[in-house]
Amino acid sequence: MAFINSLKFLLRFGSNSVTTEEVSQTGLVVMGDNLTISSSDSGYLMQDDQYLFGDGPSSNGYNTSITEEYTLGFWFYSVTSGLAIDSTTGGLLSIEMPVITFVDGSSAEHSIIEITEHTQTSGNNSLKVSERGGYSAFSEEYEPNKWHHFWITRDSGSLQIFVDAVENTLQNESGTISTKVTEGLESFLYTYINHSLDGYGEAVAKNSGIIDDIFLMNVRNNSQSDMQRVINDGVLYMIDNIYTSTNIVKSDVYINDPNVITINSMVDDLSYIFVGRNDGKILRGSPLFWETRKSFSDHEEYASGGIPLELHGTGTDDGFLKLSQNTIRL
Amino acid sequence: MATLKLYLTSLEPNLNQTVYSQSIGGYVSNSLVYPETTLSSTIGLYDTSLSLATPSSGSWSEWQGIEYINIGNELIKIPSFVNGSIVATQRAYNNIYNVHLDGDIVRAIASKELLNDVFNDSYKQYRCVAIKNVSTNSTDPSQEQVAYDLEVFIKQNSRNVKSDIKIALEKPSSEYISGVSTSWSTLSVVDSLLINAYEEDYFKEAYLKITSGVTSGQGKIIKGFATDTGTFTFYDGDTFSSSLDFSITPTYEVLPSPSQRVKTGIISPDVGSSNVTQFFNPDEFTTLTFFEQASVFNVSNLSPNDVMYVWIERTIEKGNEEFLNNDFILNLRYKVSE
Repeated sequence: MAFINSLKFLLRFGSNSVTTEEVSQTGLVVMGDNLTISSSDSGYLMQDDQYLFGDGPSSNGYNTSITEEYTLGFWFYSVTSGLAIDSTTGGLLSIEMPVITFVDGSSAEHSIIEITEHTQTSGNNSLKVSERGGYSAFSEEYEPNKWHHFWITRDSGSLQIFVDAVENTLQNESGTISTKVTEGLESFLYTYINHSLDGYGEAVAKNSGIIDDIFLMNVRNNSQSDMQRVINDGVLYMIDNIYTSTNIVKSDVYINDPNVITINSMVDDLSYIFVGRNDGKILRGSPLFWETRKSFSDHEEYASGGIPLELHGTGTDDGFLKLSQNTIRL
Repeated sequence: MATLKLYLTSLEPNLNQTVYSQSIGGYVSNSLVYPETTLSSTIGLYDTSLSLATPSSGSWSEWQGIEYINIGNELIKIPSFVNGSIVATQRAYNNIYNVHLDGDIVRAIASKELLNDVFNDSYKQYRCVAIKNVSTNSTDPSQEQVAYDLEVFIKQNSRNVKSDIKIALEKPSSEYISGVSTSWSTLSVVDSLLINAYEEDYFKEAYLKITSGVTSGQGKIIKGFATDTGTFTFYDGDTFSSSLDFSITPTYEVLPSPSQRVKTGIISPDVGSSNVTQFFNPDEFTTLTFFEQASVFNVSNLSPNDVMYVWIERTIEKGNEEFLNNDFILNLRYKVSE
């Protein structure tokens, strides 16, 4: 693979847990921790008793080179944990669940970018983005128990959150967005998946959603056509040089059952009668069976008044039987 | 960026193909596989309200009674009446959710069109569609118009486990050219710039169309091409009117040569030659292409008006009880620059 220069971090989960990937610059290595993680082609299933920690290809963090801009994207199957009860007031509390946290590891662990999920009284969830400078904002609410794609991007003056490629109106913004993301700290960042640095309490719980295809770029990208490529074609179509210069034309051809079943052939091989239908089915029946059905049918015809018949002619050559104002149905 | 579209094929050139089961090779018809329009607003993964631009025909008549629309890889079930504003009955009818942007192509899909219920003794049927580069740079001359390294694959095969789709690629034996004739007559068009530029009879059976003058739009099937004189000749019964002023030499174009054509949709085309691949079930990672095959011209790069033919082989298993969920998705992937 040959990644675009702005890609600084990529984490994908395959059916084999060791296929998780880290990328820094153009390198690609298996994620270092010896965790036995639960992942499948769908992604990493977050667990109550574990979190993932990425320390970079050389264990000194990912060289993100982030200054004022970044773009963070990931697929997430969100689940709801309901609401907590405030032990003091008895009221309902939104539950906070960690998703991804990028921290500076130079001295103490300072959270640089923190993504958390929050349950809402409506039964939906929303995503919260918090930055080191004290700024935070929520996405609009989205339905849990579905896959959603999240795309978060910012420059020195504003943050944008796109859910399923639709830009959200930021909710409950707090603080002022700082010019620089790292606020003077190093841009070598470590990452946690499903880990709360502040610990867990009555309204903070582990996430149990599924996450996949996490990428971080050090530029602002709010191109909806790029989001469309990532969502429709996969993350590699946006960050891998092999695919970024391609276009895909997609066309569906649809065929289905005929709406009206008709008989389009019939063969009697003296043992069975075969009837072909336009939906491809072939019916096989014994002539005796058909005759039995016929006798039932005759009986019904007789019961309803019978079939008026006329005899014309007398000889074997010119004589015939005529049905008066009736048809024979086969 | 190059624009590719799928067309039905027809027995004669320059025709509208209205009988889907007759899309069994030959010339590129003037009919798209499905009527098209575009989205006029972006829709997210789970949105159900769609806004469609009025089709270029100016009417929704072709769209009435359809059951599904196709955008990207997604099949969407819709109410039978279609106008500019519809509410989807079911997104991701084929289990693929996509995001769709303002301007994306929307196709009207009806069942029982391209493929039908007529099979041969091996439970197979065949169709041929043409991939055509319809790019023009009339509005932006800087636009790249060539589709480089074209690859074709089946993004989603039939969801009916007893039904299978395979495809083969056929490249035309001659590509699109255009020029200015240096002389012409009732039975021939001469372009001296083509002298010794192509092999003898290189353009045989391709369709030559006049693009200027009083005969603009008229075309003839090429009977032969004489490379030593640069002369296209036509069949005896298909000549230009003798009353024309042959001193005024027109511009012309030669469309890509036709594919092979089978007699009916239950007869397999000849596959496995230098011009036609075998039938395969190519996926995203093992695509079907002519990249590495020596060819007269690099047909993997589709220039404007160039075509590539796709043969479709549908096979059903004996005893298939249901014919539901038989849709498949064809993807054409190409590089947008060299």
